[in-house]
Amino acid sequence: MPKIIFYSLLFFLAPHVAICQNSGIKGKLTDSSSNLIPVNAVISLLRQKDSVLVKFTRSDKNGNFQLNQLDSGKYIVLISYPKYGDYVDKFDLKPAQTYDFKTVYLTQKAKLLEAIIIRQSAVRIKGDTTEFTADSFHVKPNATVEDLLKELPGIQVDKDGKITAQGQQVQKILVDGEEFFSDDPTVATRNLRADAISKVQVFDKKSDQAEFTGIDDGQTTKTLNLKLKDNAKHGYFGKLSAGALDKYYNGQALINAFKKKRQLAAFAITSSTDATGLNWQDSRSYGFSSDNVVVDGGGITVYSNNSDDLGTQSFYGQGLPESVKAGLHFSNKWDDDKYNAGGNYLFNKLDVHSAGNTYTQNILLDSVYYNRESQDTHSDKMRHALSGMTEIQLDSSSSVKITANGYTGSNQSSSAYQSQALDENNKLVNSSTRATSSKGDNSGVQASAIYRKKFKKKGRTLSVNFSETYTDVSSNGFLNNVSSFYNASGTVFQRDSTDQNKINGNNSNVAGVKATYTEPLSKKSYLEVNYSFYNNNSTQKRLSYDRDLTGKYSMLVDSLSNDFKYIYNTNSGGLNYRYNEKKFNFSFGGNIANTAFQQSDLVKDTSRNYSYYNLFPRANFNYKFNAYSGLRFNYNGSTQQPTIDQLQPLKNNDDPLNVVIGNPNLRQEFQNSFNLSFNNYKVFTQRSIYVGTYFTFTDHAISSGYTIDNLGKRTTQYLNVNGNYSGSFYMGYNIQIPKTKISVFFYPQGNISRNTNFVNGLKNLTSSSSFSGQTGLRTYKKDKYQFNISATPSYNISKSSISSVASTNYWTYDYSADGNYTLPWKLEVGTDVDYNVRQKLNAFDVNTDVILWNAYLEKKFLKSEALTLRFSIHDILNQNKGYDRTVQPFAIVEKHYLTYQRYGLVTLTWNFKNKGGAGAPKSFF
Amino acid sequence: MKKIVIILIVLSFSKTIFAQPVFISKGKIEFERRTNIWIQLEGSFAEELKKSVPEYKTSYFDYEFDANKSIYKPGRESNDKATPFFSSPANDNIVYSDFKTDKYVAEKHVFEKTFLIEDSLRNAKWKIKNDFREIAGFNCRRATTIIMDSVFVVAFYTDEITVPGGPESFNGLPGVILGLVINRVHTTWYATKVEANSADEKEITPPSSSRAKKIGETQLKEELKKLMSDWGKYGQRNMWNIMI
Repeated sequence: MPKIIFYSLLFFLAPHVAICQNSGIKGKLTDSSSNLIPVNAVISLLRQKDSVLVKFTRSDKNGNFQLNQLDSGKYIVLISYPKYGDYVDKFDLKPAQTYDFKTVYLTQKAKLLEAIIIRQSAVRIKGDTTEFTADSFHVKPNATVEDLLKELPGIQVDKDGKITAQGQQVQKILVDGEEFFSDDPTVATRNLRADAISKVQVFDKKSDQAEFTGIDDGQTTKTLNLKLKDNAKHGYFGKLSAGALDKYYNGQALINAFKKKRQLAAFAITSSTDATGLNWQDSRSYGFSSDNVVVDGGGITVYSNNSDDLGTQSFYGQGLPESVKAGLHFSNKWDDDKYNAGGNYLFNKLDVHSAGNTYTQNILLDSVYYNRESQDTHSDKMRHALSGMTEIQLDSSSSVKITANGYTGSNQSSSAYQSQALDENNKLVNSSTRATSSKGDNSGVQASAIYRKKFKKKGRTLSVNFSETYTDVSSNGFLNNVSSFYNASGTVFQRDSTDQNKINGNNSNVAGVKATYTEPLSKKSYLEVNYSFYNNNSTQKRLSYDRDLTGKYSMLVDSLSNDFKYIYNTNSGGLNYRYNEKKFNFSFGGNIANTAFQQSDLVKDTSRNYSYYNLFPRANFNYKFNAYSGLRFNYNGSTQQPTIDQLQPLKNNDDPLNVVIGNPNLRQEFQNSFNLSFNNYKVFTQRSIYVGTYFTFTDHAISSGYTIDNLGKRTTQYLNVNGNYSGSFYMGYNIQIPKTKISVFFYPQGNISRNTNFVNGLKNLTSSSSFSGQTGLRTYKKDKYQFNISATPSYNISKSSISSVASTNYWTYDYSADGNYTLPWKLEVGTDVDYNVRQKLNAFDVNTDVILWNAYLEKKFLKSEALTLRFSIHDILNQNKGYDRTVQPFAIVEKHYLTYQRYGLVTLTWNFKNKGGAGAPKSFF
Repeated sequence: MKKIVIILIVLSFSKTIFAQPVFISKGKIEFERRTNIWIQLEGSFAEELKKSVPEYKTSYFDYEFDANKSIYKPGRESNDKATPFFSSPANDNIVYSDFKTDKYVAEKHVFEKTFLIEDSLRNAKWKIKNDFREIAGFNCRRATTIIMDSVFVVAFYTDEITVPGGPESFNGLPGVILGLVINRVHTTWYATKVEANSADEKEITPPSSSRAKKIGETQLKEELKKLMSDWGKYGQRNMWNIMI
């Protein structure tokens, strides 16, 4: 039916249109002061109501012009000719009329009119800006900006909050010249109070390009700028969240208050679950992170500087933690952002109770024996940290950034162990009971100053970085151990006991400077030169005392004690060449470093000098097929120095049945790493493929030699070996099933490695490999739902040359599914399930299969959805097990540890902000 | 921005000698296309990214024309540092316009696909303004229009170059467009160089690529909508960039 109407309308209109197009115009141009004939002058016909161009023509060589087939109506004729004033005339074109302008005289261009400034008390017009003084217009108390706007002449606000100024819709609202954080203008006009506003400005905003360059490009947007009163440039936002049920709890309070560019934030968190820190998003929006963002040819990299237990990663899921964390943040900018400075204070306290059993199967060429150990540990850590940063823009091409942070902390822990070693017939070889405790303090200071300069020549830069790091760690602890050794008949024939006081102290100070200079050799190639010098001054003290007859720990055990002082001086120089083409780029170069090192034994008063060179060659090649497909190759060589612990010819008897000794003759190891990868992405079919491989082999690898005596005591010493390597192959395939929003993915992966070590003087080659392939489906609809499901089978193979068993092979299967769905009434449900299956290695193996199922239901309240109530259950089936299996050179280690099982939480979260909260966080990308 | 004006004019014989303006109906124009990268940076990383990403991405295009047809295609390479992730699709278009038949043919690279778009010239409703500015030595008049329902476009055209075309597929003004500003995609096009009579007519031919998929404007729009409907703001900006 509508179609019929449409066609019949056409039928009636068509002849009418045809009649109208019978009209036309004509005329002749001439110069008003000379006989010059304006040839090629433009005659434009505009509609009167909106000056839209309808048709145009140019004058012929006699100055004549004509336009035909025009609709009747009201027009403007605009005749322009270079260096002449425009001729503009309004006229009415009747149907079937040819409007004759006869002779049109064009004249020289008139002078430009100067800008007119009109001053009024409450309204001021300057250029194209109309400014209203807010206080001159009366509004009710507590009125919003929207109420104020309704009072201003020339501005209308409709019921939806849409603003029209001077006849045009306002497309943009600025607050103090800065774009408001929402695209919706009503967020500003309905949330800001009218009495916070000093002036309202209406203007056609120039494009951002024009504002940056100062060159007007003529493009504008009808814009309203709300100038805040100075005392109103503040606001706050924050979050309060509390959750509890039974003995579990989580609490969070965060607030961020800002005034102009000054930001002040504080938070406190307490938890008995693994929510022991700020999440990444919160830590950024509240200013508690110091991530560095670097963009280079390959992409964007974010470096997180969250150090050890101050960051979110202070707890790794073994044991049950209780934590308290709190912080303060301050930052400000001055003088057009030329200076900015900020600081943080953080407090962290983490108590963890962990317990578990470790079961080790040692497989030697001629024998098998077993170890069982149970362990129970309580540890408390506490730390105060202060950090500060200031950045000064010296001029447009150079800046200085100074950062400093310091911390002081203490820790305390006590552990009890019980262990048994059994031979292949399950007969006791030895048993031990061990208790350790320790109290310690740690502190450190880190400071750096970076100067950066960009020279006029594009690509020429200099950066100089001075830095100093000081750390001090000390501890005072006790070791109490009784080991019993059994003979074949099962009776104790030897009993060793250790009762010692252990005092350890490490102190180090590293100071140095690094300078990097880049020089463009051509438009496409760059050379980078760097030089650095570092001085490392450190002491390491390890003292063990036996108890004397009076019960005091006064007898120094020489074989377990030393006090060393080290001085390292490292000089490093490097050269890198980089070449960039549109399709490819490559770079190569390397660093050479000399380290001179003096080791002084403060007890024996002796000293040794070493000096060695380290090489770090590098090469890199990237090829870009197009923006979505590329090939990369990368080589890295590096020398790795043995650590002080690996070098010290000192026994560590923290576990008397498992002693580690350093080796002063260790050499540095050299690693060669190769990396090759390819990726291809098709946007239209949402298909992505990546393939990659890497391979690393190590010369003179630092490895271990184990000596196991017939009492089941193990001694480990470091030594250099050859022939170690590791490699991996991985690929990914992801495609969207046509005509659906469902993606299928497949990620196969394979790893191989070989390690050499020595067991009782015999060379042992351990080869291991693993293969896995994750396959799954995922789908999502924005703001509606999201589902993922996947399965990952893996096969592990491990073989030791000295082992009596051919190889240790087993399967594991991981199945996982998760999803969430947004329901009506602001409800959301979500769940995730993980099912882990591990093949048993033998019939006695315990079942370690786990189904871990979590779920939540959430409801949002209030118009702004600021209030959220969430019910969540962790491990609904109460099946969670802390379990870990690792296959070592000649041992399979299985670990069961204490972890969370089923618990529920009811959590209420309130996100708040005040009416002036114009500085609320922007979205994250 | 230095504007170099090279006008190689061979004056045709004319009875009028003094002060007669010269009109160019054949030649070559170089456009500098600049896209603001900083303004597109969002989120908490924006400030840090600005330190390593240049504010503008610049590229050059050549526009060759005679009285009735023109071709717009990538020109000399820019000296810009590569900015990964910030390049938009369809940023190296070739657009052939035939003002006599009212048709255009454009070759556009959109992600991994190449499209050969054949359709009628854009019929924009230009509003003529009374503002002027000089671009590459030519006095230009401002005109504005809205395309794709909401994208505001400012163009500066000059009467002195008679071809009714401009960068990309913009056309329909009484002279060539020497300046074009589209804030929605944070991009400007400005002529940096005008050479009269230097166009090689053989160059002004429609692009043809055997690998390209032939498509009309409406179908392309449908295909893009299907792909990018869930991409939010980024998808919308891509859509504008491609459909310009």
